[in-house]
Amino acid sequence: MNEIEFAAKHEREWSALARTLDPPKGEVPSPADVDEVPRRFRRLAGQLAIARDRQYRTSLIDRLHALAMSAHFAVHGARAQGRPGTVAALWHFFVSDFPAEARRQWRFLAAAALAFFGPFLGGIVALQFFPDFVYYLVSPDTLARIQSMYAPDNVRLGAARDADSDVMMFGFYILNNVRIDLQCLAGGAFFGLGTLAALVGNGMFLGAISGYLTQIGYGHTFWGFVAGHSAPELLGLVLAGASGLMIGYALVAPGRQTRVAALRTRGRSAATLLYGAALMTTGAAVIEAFWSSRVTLPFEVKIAAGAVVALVVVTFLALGGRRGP
Amino acid sequence: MIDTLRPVSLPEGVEITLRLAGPVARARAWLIDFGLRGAITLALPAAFSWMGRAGMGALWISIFLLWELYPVFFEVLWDGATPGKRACNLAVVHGDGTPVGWPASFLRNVMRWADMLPVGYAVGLTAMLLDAQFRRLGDLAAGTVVVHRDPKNPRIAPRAAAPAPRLAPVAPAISLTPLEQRAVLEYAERRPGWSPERAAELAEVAAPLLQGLTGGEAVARLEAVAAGLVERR
Repeated sequence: MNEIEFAAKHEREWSALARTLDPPKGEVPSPADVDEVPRRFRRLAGQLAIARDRQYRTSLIDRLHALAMSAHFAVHGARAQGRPGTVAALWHFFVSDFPAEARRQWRFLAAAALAFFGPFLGGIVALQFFPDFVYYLVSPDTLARIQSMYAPDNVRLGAARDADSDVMMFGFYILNNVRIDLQCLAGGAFFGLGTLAALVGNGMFLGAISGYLTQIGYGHTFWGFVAGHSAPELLGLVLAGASGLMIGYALVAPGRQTRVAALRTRGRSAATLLYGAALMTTGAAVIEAFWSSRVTLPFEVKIAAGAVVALVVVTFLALGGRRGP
Repeated sequence: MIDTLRPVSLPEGVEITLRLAGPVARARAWLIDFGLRGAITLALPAAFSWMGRAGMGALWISIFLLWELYPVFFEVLWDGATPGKRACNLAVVHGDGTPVGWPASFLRNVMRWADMLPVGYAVGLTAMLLDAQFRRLGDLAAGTVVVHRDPKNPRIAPRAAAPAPRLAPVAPAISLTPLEQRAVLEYAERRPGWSPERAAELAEVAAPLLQGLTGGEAVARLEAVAAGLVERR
């Protein structure tokens, strides 16, 4: 068989495959044609190999190659893409895959928690005894601004805040806090140092603020405000930090594989943690914008609500998705 | 061979070739996206101003979506290409040539924060220049590559698949290796795109086949040889 006969013999099959894969506008490929795609693809693979081996003309080989590429896209793309597709699949990811993955990576979670909560709690305790130490950690301007925000006699935070402002602050928390989560992961690319710096830095800053405000007697307003959203927000940050540490660890200690391969393996579960972290931070933003700002509620109610939220979040991470998929 | 082609073996028993895109092509696509996103960002305040303070919140959320998630949505839902990439005929695919999915796209776009440091994507550019497949850090972590794609509406239309042999086939004066045969076929196929002078100039390179012919006669002879080769068994 020569080249022309070869092309003529298979022409119908090739154009049928091309039509099925990239139908002209307004045409829906018939189910029979769709079912035929894998078989036609396999035969096409053989024909392309023959055309290459016999050094047929380039335009023919290019055409078969392009056809093979789009068939590959269509056949294996559907699998590789793994589109969540349905709300049910997304929900399953969040309530099951995410907490299970978080527990599997508990070492990184613990390291991230240590890097964040160490300086945070240390700052709070230290400032009860050495309040002036706060000026090493926070600039006086920032401190003055925050101090005025949480002053007990301040009405700006009070009932005067309307729904408009709640939405505004919600947008701000999303942009700011979720972006910090994303940066925590990316910081892992510098052998984890970027992530560590973010965790320790945020821990020291928040510890300094909390400790200072408590020490000067603003604890009532401050803890009342942060109680509701603190659990999902801080845990979200720790989860994001853990994902960054995983990236860093893959680069520092790849084990028995190349760094690129280690990065890819760890990267997948780091992305899972980060999805969860971003969702938790978003949830925290909802609470922070629409619940925490309600200063008319009594202090005890806010603390109790915060404790309930914390309990729910921790229980979810500890128990969610144990039964597997 | 040093080139930007990446062969991928398929389970069906054939190899496909991905044409990897380098830093310049990708920077151009990024610039188009940047311009688009910048224009939308500048238009947003006007669009939300009627909502007052709540509009500020909507504005911030839109900025977040536009600058963090815009590439992810486009890459996953629009055949691996943001509008800028589409305009430049680029696409993001997994290393095995399959379309990029949510986890990979999300990861490579989050890692952008590291790639853009310290200024102007310096880290990403360094990684791309060190890597044989032009992958920035995000691509390395997600296992993706950016490839050139055949344009949907090519500026130069592909010629007819099988040009009818116009000449009586002539057997080559010497025996040709498969690659040489391919070169001769290629010549005949691309011949219509050249001026007669250029065609003659190129034909005369194949001196052993021409037995001293030059100019238009050389072209005719080479095409006749090609016509013979098409019919080889």
